[in-house]
Amino acid sequence: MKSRAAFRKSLAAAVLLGALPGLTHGAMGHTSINVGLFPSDVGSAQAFSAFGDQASAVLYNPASLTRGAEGELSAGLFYVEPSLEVSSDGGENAPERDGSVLDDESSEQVLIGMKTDLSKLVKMDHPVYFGFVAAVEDFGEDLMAFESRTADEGQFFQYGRQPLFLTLGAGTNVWRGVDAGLAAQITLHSDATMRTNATLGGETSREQIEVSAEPVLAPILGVNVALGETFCDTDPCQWGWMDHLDIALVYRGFSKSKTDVDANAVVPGTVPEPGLPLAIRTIDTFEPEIISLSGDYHWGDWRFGAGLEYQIWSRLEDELGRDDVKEPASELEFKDTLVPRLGVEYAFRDDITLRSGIAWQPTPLNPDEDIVRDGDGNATADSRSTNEQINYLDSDRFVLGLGATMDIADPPIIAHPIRLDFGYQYHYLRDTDYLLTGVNENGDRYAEEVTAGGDAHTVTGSISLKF
Amino acid sequence: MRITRRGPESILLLAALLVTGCGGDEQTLTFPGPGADVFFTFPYADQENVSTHAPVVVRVSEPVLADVDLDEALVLTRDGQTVDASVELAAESGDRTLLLRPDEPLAPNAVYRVELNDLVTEAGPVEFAEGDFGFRTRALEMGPRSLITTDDMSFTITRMIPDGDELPIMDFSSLRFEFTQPLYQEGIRYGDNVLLEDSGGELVDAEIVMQGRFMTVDPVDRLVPGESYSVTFSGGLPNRFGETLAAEYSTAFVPKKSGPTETMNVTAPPGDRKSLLTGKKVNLVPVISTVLGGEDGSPRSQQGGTLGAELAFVPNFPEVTPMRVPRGTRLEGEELEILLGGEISAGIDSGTLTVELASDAVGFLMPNRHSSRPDAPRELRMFMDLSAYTAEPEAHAGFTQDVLHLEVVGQAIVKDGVLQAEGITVVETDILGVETSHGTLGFFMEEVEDQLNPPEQVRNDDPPEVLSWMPGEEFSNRQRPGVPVIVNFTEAMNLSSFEGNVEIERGDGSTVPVDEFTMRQDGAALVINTELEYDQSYKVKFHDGITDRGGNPLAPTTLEFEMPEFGDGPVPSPMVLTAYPGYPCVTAGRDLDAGHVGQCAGGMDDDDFLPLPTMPADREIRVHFSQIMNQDSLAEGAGFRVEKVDEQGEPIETVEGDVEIRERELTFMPRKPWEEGSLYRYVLASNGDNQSSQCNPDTMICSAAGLPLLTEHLAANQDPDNAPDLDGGGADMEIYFRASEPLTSAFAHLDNVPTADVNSNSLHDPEDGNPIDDPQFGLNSIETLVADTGGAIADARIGCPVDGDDCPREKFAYLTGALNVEIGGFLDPEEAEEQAVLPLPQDVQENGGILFHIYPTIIRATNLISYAETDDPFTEADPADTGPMVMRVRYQCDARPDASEPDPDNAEPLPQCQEGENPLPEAWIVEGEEGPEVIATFNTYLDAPALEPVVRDTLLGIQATADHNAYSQGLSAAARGPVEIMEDGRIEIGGINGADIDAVLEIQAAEILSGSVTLRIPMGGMNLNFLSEAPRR
Repeated sequence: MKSRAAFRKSLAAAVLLGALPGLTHGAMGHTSINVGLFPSDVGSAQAFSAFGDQASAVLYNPASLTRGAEGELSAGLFYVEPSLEVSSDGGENAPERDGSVLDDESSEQVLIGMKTDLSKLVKMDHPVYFGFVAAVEDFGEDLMAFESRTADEGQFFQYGRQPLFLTLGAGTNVWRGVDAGLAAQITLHSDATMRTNATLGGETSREQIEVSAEPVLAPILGVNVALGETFCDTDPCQWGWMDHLDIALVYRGFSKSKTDVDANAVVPGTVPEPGLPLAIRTIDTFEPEIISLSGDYHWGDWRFGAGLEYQIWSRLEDELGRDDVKEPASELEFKDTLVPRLGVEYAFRDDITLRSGIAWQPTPLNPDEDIVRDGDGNATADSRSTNEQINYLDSDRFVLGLGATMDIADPPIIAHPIRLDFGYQYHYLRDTDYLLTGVNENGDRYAEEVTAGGDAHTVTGSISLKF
Repeated sequence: MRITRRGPESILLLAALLVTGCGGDEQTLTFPGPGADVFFTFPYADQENVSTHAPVVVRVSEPVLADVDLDEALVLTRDGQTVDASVELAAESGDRTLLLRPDEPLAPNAVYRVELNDLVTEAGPVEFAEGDFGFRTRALEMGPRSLITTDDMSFTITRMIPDGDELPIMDFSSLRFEFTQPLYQEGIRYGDNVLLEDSGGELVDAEIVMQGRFMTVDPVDRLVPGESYSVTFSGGLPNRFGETLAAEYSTAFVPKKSGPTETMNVTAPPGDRKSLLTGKKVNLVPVISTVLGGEDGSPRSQQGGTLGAELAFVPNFPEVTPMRVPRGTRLEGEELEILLGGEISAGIDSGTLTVELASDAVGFLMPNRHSSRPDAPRELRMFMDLSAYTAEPEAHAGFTQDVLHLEVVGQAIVKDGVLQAEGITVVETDILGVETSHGTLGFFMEEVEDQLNPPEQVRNDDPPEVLSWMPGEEFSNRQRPGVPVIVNFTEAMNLSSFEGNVEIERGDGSTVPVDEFTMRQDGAALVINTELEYDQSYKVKFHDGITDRGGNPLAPTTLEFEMPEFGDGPVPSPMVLTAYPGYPCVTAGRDLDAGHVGQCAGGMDDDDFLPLPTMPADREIRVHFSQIMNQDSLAEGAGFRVEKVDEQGEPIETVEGDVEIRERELTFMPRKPWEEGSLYRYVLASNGDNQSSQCNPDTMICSAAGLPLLTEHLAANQDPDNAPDLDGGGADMEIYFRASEPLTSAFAHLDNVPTADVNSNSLHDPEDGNPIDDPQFGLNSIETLVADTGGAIADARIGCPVDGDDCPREKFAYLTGALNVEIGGFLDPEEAEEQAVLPLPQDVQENGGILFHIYPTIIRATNLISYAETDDPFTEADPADTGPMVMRVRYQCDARPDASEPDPDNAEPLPQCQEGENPLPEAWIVEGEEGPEVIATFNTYLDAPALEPVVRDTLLGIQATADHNAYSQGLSAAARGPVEIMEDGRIEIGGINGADIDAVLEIQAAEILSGSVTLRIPMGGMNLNFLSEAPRR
């Protein structure tokens, strides 16, 4: 039965992928976790994201929507250009690689976000902040950047173009110094069904196609605690440091983009009703469950942030097991990762804030490799990796962020204050060895030992209108 | 990143594709190119039953480089030895198909291995994944038991197709079984000793077809998937050697569900398309044989039409996809142009050649075993049983036959949106019962583009009819006991429908019981064997219920014929008409060392020495008799034995073999081929006395009438008193021969029928017919006149007194005889000049011809009575009865060992045989004005051993027996006549003398009479008629 599934899968893959012109490179993990969303997130390596006062808080910690009383409408541009390098150590039937950069496909997203106090709309005094944020790839022209494929040459597990990103949620103060928020990240699960008669030459007749996309919500829950306000009954707090320290606990559910294709082709003279089933189910842009604990210590013009994220990637193992494209790598294991983040912010002037952050993002990729070497020490095609045919590449990353915010209290023309943000982030990917295996398009098994590494640069900027 | 796939152009592009990116050079990827793969081989690895005439085909994915030494690149070996062969690239194969043709046919039952060495293509070297692979050739159709079986010691089942393992058994599968030894078809009945039963023990409705070692059980309806079935062959299942299956064989299986199935209409397009696998025109079956021509001149017919291949539900069988083509499906082809030797028109049209599936063909589309490349075609394997027949009766009767378990090995791939299948197989067919032809079929079929409106298939709506039959009303005078009745229908029939619907009724109203006749189907022919009796008439009745494979009924039909009248004349001893190998007389003076077997006993001293015959290693001893024989007396150990002998002719050991006995025929095939170079003999035992009719069937050969085998035809010492009695025997006939390598020429046996001397007593019995009253009796007669007299004989007349009315009916001698011939291929004038020993006939000098050799034998003629008047009124000659006349056909040379010039009294001496010379007389088939003709010269000794002319002197009152010279009287007759293929497929060859033939009979009675009579066979007076054997028996 396995062979049958493989047959269906490959046929379906051929139909699906062949039907999508201009392949784009998708990846696991959204840039919002790998890099950041708004310039302030990018510039601080997300060390302050759980305490952001902009619309991006809806993603990182909806409880923080309560921060900053004004409503805010933000728009921005996000550009990340990786330079993901692979060097080959050879192997049987390995490709010749000339040059070092396997993947430098950029992601160019347009961002839009808004937050506002909904209590103004109703007869309620208790402020409830609503926010949403959306990111659209290719400067707004590509709503559905989705790719799932096998890659003989290897493919980077993260980075790449992103499907439509949409998150909305609300936050409010629930007790003294305690804010809570709830949000939903919306991803699209697409279904396509096709019924057709076809000749072996591909000429179709009696076609019937249905395509639908269902939004699926992934929950985000966050709690902020301003320690001084919460735990002190004096103001200022008897333990002065408490007044300067906020902590946040956030839970993000996992999400993914998914596409199901279910096609049946009746080939008169070859395959009668119900026809040749071409069924494929695949995912992209898996985002793990994340539990994060963050602290924000602000003191004078300075502000320090620290966070620890527990990213549960192991769930992806189940997802790959159900994925028809990635079925060859269904045995691939992922480890859960712990991501530390540190940041600092300095109010250079009243209207200018500078920030920086660092983070360490270990790779969740944990393939099991069995390398068989020939007499010359090269990997032979008998080598096996659980990364088979999919050949994900990833590396532990060191992240450095730099950013600045400029508040313009009285801008020309516009009646409301404006905030300008800029962020830059640099990723350094530590060299990591992988074994690439599979069967190439000639039908030959191959094995190649490679070292993956590289770096990535992210530049982002936004403008926010406070109201 | 840039990805390229290495190809010729990609290398060039590589540098151009370097693009710099931020932080480093953009990587350009060049994947290893596909290299070169083997895509297809024929035979495939471990294939069984490969024809001994099979080429070896290897198709690779890329063109082979021009400088590759093909003979080195593709090598066929057996036991480590390279097989001599030529290798070429098949025409129009894109230089991708290597075709190896062995110089000689492959050995049967042998394992061969195929190797690739240093084969380099445009994409690099190519080799087999396993280094090399083997295949096994099939057993032969004809020959010694060790060559026509896969195990000559044990009769068992070796294989079932599909096997239920590699090839799934489907609910629509027909089941093919292979046995180690050929089956006795007449003794096998479905439901009796072959059973296909469901789990409840109920017999499943099925048809069986059989041939040689092969049988197919073809369920009529689809089996129930998931149900358990069993096939059982009972222990009583007989083989051709009279043995039965070693043990009951039963196998159970559970068929898989094929549905929902879909029928793919595929078509065999006509045209000049060349097969990618053979380089020859597709769907063309050449029939390569000696009789009908070699590679270039052989008859061939391109098959065309549409057929529906029912595919199992492909999604359920993505790896091995089963299919079937239903029984009865037909393809039609162009008519065969039948040229004897590939050059001489046989004067007949075959009409449309139809090939019909005798059972469901099963096929499998399988993954390519050599390559996993996406462009590697899938492997196609199809097993089919075919019935072939033509529209016109002459060719139909000769060609119609079944070909079972034909395995087509091919490749299939969708090209330009259309599934195309190419295949290859070797078709071996029986040619007129005298040889097995072979032809490599490059099969090509493609999917019909518009599957919803496919071209119409060849329909099977017409009711079958009898197209021809033998003996046939008109030719029943040629029928003899032991010769089958063969009915050729217009199309292949449903074998099971004959069951209980065929009746044979004798003229006296009695019916031949069903267990006293056998039926066997071969193509569209039904072969009926039963013990036919002389003087009896028969009706073969086909009743209601007989159908073709399409279910169309045969209208009730009765075929009626009368067997010849045996007559009431004296019943003679049986004689050997032909003995192969050898000469059918007891010989004296044998010297094997010197290469001769001596002279016929009783002949004259200066008679020719008979050469030691040679026997091709794979042939059988064949002896034809003039009478119905006591079959028990022919058994080995009774009157017949075969022995290996030493160089002195002394027996060393008895040769094991298979004896087949018919009413008037004995064959002996050694279990293993004769050892080339070794000496053998076979002994036909008689009673030791040519004037005694005693016969003991336990120790000697006897006729059914209880008379001994006449082995000595001549009168020893030329004394009529020593002439054999009509019912006499003689010494044991010991025929020596030396085994030689197999021949490619075709052996044929011809009978001198019809003849007025039906009872073969060599006497013109009063009730025997004559040509004056019935021209049919002119065939195989010799009219003899008196041309002149000399000496004291004033006048003479054959048949009646000189002074009375003439008696034209009495001037004919009627022949009893047969002839074996060895037919070679066509020779152009230059080749003919080179190969022939004797001067070429004019026709051959001009246009060439087919050289065939005659195996000399003894032909007997009925007696003539000569009346003479002398010039002396006191001298009288009694009417002289020649008695049976013996004509010994002479070899072309004399095998006498020394160079001494013989000085025969009554004949011309023959040239002495030279070393290596073929001593057999040469004859030719040439293109005549109205069809092929035979030109032959018969050099014979004529003997009248019982001739005892009595003369008397009335004055002196004395009488004496005159001496005469009718001993080893040389007679040379040049004959020419037409070669005709009869409607029943037999070949009839006529021959008449184109000039007068004179023989001077000298009579000498001391002091009474001395004179001579010049006997003349006038031009056309010798009317020979030879008829080949039934095309199948």
